[in-house]
Amino acid sequence: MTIQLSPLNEQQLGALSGLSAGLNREQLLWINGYFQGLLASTSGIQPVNAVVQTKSNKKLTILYGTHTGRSKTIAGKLSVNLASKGVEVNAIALDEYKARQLASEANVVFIVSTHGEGEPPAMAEDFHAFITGKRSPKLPGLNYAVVALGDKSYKLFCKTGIDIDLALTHAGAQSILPILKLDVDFEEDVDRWINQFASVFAETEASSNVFESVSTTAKVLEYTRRNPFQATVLDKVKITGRDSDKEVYHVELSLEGSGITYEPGDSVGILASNPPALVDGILRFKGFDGSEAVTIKEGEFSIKQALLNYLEITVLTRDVIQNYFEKTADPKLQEVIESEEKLDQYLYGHDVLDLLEEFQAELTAQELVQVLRSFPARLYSISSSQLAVGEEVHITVSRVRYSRNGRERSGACSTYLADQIEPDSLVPVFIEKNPAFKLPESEETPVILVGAGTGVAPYRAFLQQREANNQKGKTWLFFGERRFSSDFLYQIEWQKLIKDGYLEKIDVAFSRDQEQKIYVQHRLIEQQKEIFEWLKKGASIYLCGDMKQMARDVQKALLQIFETQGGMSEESAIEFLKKLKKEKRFQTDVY
Amino acid sequence: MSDNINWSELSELEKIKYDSNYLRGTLVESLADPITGSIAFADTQISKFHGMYQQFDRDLEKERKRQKLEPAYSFLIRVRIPGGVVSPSQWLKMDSISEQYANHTLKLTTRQTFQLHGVIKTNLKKTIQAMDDSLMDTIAACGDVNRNVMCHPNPAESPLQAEMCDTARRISEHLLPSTTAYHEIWLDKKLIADSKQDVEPIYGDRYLPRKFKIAVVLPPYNDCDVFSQDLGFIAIVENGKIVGYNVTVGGGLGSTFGIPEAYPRLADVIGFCLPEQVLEVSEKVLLVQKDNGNRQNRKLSRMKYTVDKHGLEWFKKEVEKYLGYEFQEAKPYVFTRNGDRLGWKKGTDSKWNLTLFIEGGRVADKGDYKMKSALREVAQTIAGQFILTGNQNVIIANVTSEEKKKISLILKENGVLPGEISGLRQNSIACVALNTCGLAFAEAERYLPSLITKIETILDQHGLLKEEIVIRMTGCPNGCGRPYLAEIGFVGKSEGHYNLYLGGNFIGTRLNTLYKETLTEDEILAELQPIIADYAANRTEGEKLGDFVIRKQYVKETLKGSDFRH
Repeated sequence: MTIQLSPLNEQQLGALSGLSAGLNREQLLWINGYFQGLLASTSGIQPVNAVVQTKSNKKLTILYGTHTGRSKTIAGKLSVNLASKGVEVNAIALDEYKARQLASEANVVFIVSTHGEGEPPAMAEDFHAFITGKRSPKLPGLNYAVVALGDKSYKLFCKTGIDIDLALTHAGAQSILPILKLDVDFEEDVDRWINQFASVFAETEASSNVFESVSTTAKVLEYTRRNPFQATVLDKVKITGRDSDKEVYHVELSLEGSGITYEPGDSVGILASNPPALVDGILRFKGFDGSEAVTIKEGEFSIKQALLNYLEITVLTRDVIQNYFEKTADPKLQEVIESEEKLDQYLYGHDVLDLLEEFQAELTAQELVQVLRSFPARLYSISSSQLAVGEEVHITVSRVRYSRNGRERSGACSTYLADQIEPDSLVPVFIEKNPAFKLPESEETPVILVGAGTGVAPYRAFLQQREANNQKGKTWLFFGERRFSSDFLYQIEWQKLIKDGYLEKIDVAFSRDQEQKIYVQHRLIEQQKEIFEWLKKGASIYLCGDMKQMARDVQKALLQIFETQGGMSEESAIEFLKKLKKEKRFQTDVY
Repeated sequence: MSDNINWSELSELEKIKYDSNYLRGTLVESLADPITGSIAFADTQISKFHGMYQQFDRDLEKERKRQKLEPAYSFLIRVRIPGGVVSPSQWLKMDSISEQYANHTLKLTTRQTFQLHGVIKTNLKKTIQAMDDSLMDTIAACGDVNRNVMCHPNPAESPLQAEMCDTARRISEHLLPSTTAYHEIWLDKKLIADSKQDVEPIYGDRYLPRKFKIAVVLPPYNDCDVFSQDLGFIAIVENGKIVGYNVTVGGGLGSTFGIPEAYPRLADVIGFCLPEQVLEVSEKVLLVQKDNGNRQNRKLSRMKYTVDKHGLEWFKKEVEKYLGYEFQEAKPYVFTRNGDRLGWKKGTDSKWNLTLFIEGGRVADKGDYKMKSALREVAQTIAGQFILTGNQNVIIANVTSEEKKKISLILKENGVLPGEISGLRQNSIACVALNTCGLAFAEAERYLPSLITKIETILDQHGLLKEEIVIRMTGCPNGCGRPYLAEIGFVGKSEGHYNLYLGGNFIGTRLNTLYKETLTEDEILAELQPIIADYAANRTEGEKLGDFVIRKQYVKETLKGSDFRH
């Protein structure tokens, strides 16, 4: 379909045709309903639910979770039986199934075993946690049946199946038949049940209307640095393994009800609070009790509140040192300020408490806050795509922590996220658009993604996006960290993307797994021939991660590749890189 | 020929073996894959024939899944050591490999060999090459082939041990797969390939339907549990010479919960053969199984089911057909025990042998108890041998009186001088189970020692601390710790829960019987307490616990494997 004479601008048109490409009828119908709902809400008419008839009852999804293969065997039997009666059957292993899809299913049979002390089989663990957890969706349109396998000699017989059955009832789903609990010796029971199910299923109306509602938020507030959205923490997990010397967290935040949207490549701003221990340290050192009133830009607060929430104290900046010098006139500090080198050294690894301790001055609470600067929001590259996670935003945070002068130091925001938040906490957030770090407009453009450490975060978003759009191939990830066993961030997700074809190639560099340190730039050089081939085919290169070392080394490697593979001189290689930048074929997000 | 095979009828493994190009599979590619510590599924099956099992740390399974990290994969590596005999320098090599590439411990198995645990993929090749430097290999230590051949281990018990061990070694060599895949993949040796038909003259392109186990025993010692083996040779000694062997077939202990068709079975004696016939008999029995074993369902493919399906007579006749001659009548023999006799013993050649108790077969340093260091030091000191027993112990063998003194000192200095060990503990076996074995439902090696301590308290109350009782625990019903032959057997059902089996005998010739199902520790102790009390009060002179519980009808005797129930 071509779109002509539309009132949309080029970008909007692009987005629309990008969205509609490759949709099936069912998806188009759903989107049709969605826009109707939006229209109703913006035109002042009472918002209505977008109502779409999307499903026929003659479709059945069978989801199985098995350890020994028995559930799978039953799924196979049921499939064969129903398919022979003209039902469109789709049998899927629970670990291959996207649990969110459940909301768009009409009929599902769950076949799942129970092990040990009432535990689900490994392949059903995630689904079990999802459906029994707080993120389980409402499922009023779902008809279901559960076949639970177990062993009566264990105490919690068929518990996994029972859990799922209960969860579905709570979610408002309708059961087609009561739960079937099978003991070890089940052949006859299964055959009888399959026949019973087939006949009951045949009697259900062929196309009872199943409605799906799309909640439409009429009021979309603009959330900003000044006016952040209070996002609920859905999940937080340390994703570096036990033997890692890094501490990286994956944090999932809910944007539900905010109307906030973002695109892969964007960042989320977090308004953290400072480490309470550091605040207490400053108060104690200065002899404040914390209740002293101070006035800052943001208003009037107690000094404790101001230090906790509004002022930067975990790092030092030039302006703060200068301000402080004016209060102390300590000659030692003057020495620091006057030497660029000493100042640089001092700025790195010192915090406000160090400054106060090392160069003493008499300050009132008000004078202290005037020395300090406002606490800026920390920005994190978003590691999710809304096409995949809906009203959520995911971030990947490396906790900064080190020790100096016998006192533990920590990064304000990463420590806040690591130590002070838990699921259900509220985190003040806003979205920072980053138009300079976006997937190419054309899905035909190959992409080379280079990231070290948490620099891989936006690529998770990119690939979620491409997977949601069913764009396969033409993606190549270079990832670097310290150790394969503990630091391969999002390892199982990359493995699955490779298996499913969304990620075409991956090269990894683990610097500490062998005597000689290997980094991403070494992998780039190893693969230079093919990288240059990709570039010749119009590939875009992305670079995300640490600015100081990695970004510089990777750019050097790229220049080297241009020289050897493209036969360029040093200058023309530099020119070529500039050209790529200008054409948005070399995009960076470094920090 | 093989093109006519209807693969859909056969177990998935049959096709994998056939497609593997004589055990090559895609192992080379799997080893080179940098994004996973695992190997491709088909290769996990093929690697077994090279002595390696892919495993992962089950203690960390859930945690790592949450962390979006793959399971912490590593490999178990099992060495091929016929008869369990290694030189001190080979012991030292295994010791250093375990430090460098594995989890710093050595596991002595119930098949008289070493197992390494925790070897990560990128260290596999280095490990195999290090073993090769000391003339050890891992070929056919696992997989559908003849496994490590066992043999009575103690030179002190008989001067014939060396001859028997040589027999075990020759059987092992004779039945080794001929493919050069191992040398190519692990040792980078490119060997000139024969024509494809000649690659596996015995095994063919699909190898055996299932694993195959052989042991050679010397009555009265049944320390290899000969009746648990597919094929066994019971040495018959006349006038100080081995005149031949009684041949046993159809043993095997693996079984599965919920599948009554799968059961442990003890072997039957089918006749007698001469020493020079042993290799031929081994080959022909193996071939009868290769040609007749079940290749559809791996749970029913061990030779014991072939024997029961066609009948013992048929099986014997079939072997005789392959041999071209008949077996002689079996000769009488007597067994007195299936455990090891611990402690020092002098052989007829005046050399000393020390059978050293290794709890759970785990050679490790634990606090002040430095078994691993001690044995390392011993290996650096002596000129004799280390002989691994089928009961997870080790014999420091063929040492002089002077070396004996040094050994005692070393053991003392490392806190492992054999102290008072209860008769129960001396006769204990535990498989590895959690956290690495993928089959385990419950703990075994990590748990049995503490359970034994609690049972010892009961035994002590009744003055039975010295009484030798065979106790064995496995984490699953597959039977590698031979639990169904124990007087007190435990098989894990789920974490913290065990089935309790009673009534095996002290000589390994009777299967035990399920007594109680799915017991917790408290329930186990509560069940054993009155039985032990009764045993102490009412046993007849010299009556073993396993016989007592049958006489007093705590359990009914299991007369044949197919009657066994979980």
